[in-house]
Amino acid sequence: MGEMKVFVVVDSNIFIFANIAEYPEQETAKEKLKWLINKSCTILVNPIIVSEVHYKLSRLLSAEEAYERTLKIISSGHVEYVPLGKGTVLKAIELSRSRKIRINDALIAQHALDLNAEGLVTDNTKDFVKVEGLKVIKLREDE
Amino acid sequence: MAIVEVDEEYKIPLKQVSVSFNIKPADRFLVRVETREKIVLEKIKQKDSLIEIIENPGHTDRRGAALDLKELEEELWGR
Repeated sequence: MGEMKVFVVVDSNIFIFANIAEYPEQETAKEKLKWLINKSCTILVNPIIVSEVHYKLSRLLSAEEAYERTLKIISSGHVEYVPLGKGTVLKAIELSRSRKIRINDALIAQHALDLNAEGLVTDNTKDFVKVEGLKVIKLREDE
Repeated sequence: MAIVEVDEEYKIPLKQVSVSFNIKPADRFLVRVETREKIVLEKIKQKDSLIEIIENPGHTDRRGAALDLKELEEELWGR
């Protein structure tokens, strides 16, 4: 029998922390990503996460370095890019309204649910915990 | 064991053994000739691009509030 694949969605803040030495969270975020990789998890990202990663890196680093790092995230063998479908977008709009969370977070949360991901790894738990059925994996949570 | 055939461009298809040996496009191999009838392909270990960047984080000249990710998210998505 083949090995069961585990999918987790990783929020942009984890990638940003791991990519910038000046953040106190850099080491923790790096170790969290390595922990997922060592557990053979496939890290899922979508257009919202990629947009956030690229924008934030562009504001913190040079345009060239932001470009290269974003591409390296997407081209990693441990990362899978998943486009957003219309069904997910429609449900996310509803989620944003009902839970009063911003549309970008609603799109990430709804996508994680629709992909049957094991959970969402994030440092921003305040809004995501409002989403029923979504397992929020905190950056600093004990493993 | 699989038998593969060299094509006219001297390429050897490895697709049928790709799962067993975890071979992916752009993987690199060292070709070691053992005898005239035996060559060994040794996978060159390449560091994954995600691991490479997180082990070598970038440096920003921004300090204090300019590092606040919530603020950057506000800039991107607005309130």
